[in-house]
Amino acid sequence: MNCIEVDDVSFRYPATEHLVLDGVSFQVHEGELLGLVGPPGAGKTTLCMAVAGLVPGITGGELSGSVRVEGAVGIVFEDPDGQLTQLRALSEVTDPLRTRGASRDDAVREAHRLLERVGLGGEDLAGRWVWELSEGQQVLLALAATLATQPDVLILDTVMGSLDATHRAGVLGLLRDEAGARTVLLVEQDATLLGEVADRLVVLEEGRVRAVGTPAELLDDDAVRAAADLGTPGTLAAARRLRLPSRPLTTEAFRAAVCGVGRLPTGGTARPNGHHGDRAAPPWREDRPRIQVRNVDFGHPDRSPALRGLDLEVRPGEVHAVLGHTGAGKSTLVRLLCGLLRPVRGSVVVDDQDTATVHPTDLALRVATVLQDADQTLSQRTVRDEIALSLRRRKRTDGLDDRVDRVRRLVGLPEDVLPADPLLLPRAHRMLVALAAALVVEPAVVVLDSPTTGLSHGGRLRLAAALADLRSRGVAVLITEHDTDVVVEVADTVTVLDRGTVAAQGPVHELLRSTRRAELAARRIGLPTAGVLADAVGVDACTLDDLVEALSAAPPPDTDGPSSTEPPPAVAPVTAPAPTGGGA
Amino acid sequence: MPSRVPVLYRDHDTVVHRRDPRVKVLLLGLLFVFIFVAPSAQWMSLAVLGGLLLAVLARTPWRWLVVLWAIHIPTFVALILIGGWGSVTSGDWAGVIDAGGAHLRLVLAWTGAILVSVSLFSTIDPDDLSRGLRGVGLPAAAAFGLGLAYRLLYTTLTETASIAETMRLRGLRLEWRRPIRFIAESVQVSLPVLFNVVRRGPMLMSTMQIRGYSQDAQLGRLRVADVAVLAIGVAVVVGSAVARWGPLPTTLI
Repeated sequence: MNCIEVDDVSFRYPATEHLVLDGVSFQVHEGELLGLVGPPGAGKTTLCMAVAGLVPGITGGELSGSVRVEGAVGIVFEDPDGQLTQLRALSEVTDPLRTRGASRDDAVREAHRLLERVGLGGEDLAGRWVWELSEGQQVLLALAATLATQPDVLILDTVMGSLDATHRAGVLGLLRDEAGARTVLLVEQDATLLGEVADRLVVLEEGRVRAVGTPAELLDDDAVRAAADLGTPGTLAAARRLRLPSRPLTTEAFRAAVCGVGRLPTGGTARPNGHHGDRAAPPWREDRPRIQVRNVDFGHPDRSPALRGLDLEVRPGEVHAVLGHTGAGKSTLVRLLCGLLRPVRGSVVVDDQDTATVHPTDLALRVATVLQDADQTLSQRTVRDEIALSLRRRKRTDGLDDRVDRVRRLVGLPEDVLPADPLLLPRAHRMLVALAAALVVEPAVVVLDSPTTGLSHGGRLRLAAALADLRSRGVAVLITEHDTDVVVEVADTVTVLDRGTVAAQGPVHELLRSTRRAELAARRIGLPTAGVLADAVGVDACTLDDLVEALSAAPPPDTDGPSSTEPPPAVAPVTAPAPTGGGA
Repeated sequence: MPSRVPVLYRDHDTVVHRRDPRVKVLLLGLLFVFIFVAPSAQWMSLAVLGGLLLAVLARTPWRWLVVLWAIHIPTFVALILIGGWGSVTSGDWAGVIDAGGAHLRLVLAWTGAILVSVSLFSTIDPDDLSRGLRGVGLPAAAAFGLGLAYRLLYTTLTETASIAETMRLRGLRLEWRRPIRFIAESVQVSLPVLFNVVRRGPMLMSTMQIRGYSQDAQLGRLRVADVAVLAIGVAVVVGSAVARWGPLPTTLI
């Protein structure tokens, strides 16, 4: 039985001629998990709002065609903070329950159960103000509040990007548990995730349905993935490289495929001289660090995270990633680096300037920083003006157009976007505009706080290319991130933060190997996809190249299960202090 | 990194905190009626005394009171100067003092309003505000809207702080020591704040529509102490009205 029927739906927003949805038709069966994918601006969010009955009532505009939904709809939007209606975290969940007649005590009890269900059970959120929560916690809180309305259809619009590994695993577990019981519409651009959980996919492109089919049918089709702005699922990429006969989409299926082969084809397609080999020894390795954080302590007077005894160095041409769970202190570190905060103890020296002695506005000419949600600070009439703003304010207008164009190409923004109003762009493009606006000063140091949140696959590729370009020019780059696939792709070195202290530090290929799964999991950090697959088949790997190489050389894996109990490699963390109490 | 927003509410267990949110909402309503009705400075001083008593009982943060009161000092001075401008220009300082006396009722009204409202708001859990409004009969949608506006006040402060940080990195110095430049630059910060509020509108409306809101405030019956507090408030307002238009004297002493 169909739970959602969308029949020839077209829609345009008020005062525009452009059809955001153009003759969209598809059905969703009861209990099905349907993945909705497409490039930025394809109409995914608008379609979700149409299914939820919010179009055109809330948005205005013209809607034609019909949308029929069996039962109540709950929707969690991409913007985490914008959908919270209460001030206290607990009230956000109890309020819809009390609206539906629950007594105060029952509502509180059920709210705690729901918070536990979405993975916020152990985080003592009950009495906290909603703005005190991290973005990931806000998303999960919105999910708990939505579940409190007991929806028959649950719509999740691009919510996974804000979650750390533990929270993400929790939501995936919830989706799997709900399989069959609740109809789910999942808007995501993570092909690996979609391959793991989705029953079917609908690909939207410029407001039209480009393709409908199972993940097995669509994710293996390069043309469809390109149209949908999706990457290759990790399992599929590994299977192709290993020339496996099947096309696995889940870790289990990959393991079965590897076991089924018995003996892997010799040679595989490993690239022993791949780019990671080059990155291990950048030509500036012996240069003086551009970022020097020495024994830094920082603490907020309230419950927000603190840093303790932090040491960190980033050299020219090095991309350094800071990993850590929600509240580990990553964003605090970013603010220390750009001078918005000053350390209580220790020193932060960036590009030979002590951040305590220079105004952040002056420091920003040498240190480009993109804070989280920087896309929400855009205010100029055109993208061109937005990118040029930092230079105009400082009256550095020589060769301005050239510099704007250079940085536009660096971040991969199309030229026809320059005259557009940045506020009307999809979030993925706004993020790239914010990045370009920071880089236009041609800095010596770049600091990016969770730069991939909200980016599409194409956007991530552009970001990776931009980082590679900066790296080749000798710029020192520090990024905070919780997606280890991104870190493995772009970073040379890693610092793992745990409750404000350095838990581990070293080259990315040593710290994110599959043999460190337990150690990383304890810090709520997931392995990169290749590491997950390696762990499943009992070999040690960090990247796809490692995996192919290891499997090509290894005997057939034991079918009894993953060998995650193998000892860690010889290279140990530079520092691994025991986490102390307090902090986050 | 969590944002830090100055929140007026203080989570204490005091006799004022324990009062029903409906009573607090009604007391705020009575306060504004009283301010317009009170016939003299002496009657108006009741609001100030009541506010001070509330502030002490509710353990209201004194910084909030001082800051909010101090903000109005220029207004007080302006009122006195405008009223006694003739005396000022002629050097008649006794006349200025007379003008100050004439405006004392207004100064006391302002002071009383600050003391009472800040003290009451510091004891109303923001999430109980819309419940209290519903409890006094405001339609659910309106009560929810007002509660939401209260929430937006705080989240807009959060956003303003966060946007100001990014703007500082993009060339706005935002330094207090250059007040004129600070004001001009603040306008530039306000634009993205405004855009965000506008952009958020449809999402909040969507969320409200989907989650729903009910008319039932689920507050139960008022306690004896609540009724007594309310009765005192009503008595003061009625007394001031009778003093203004009826037989009671307009001076208390």
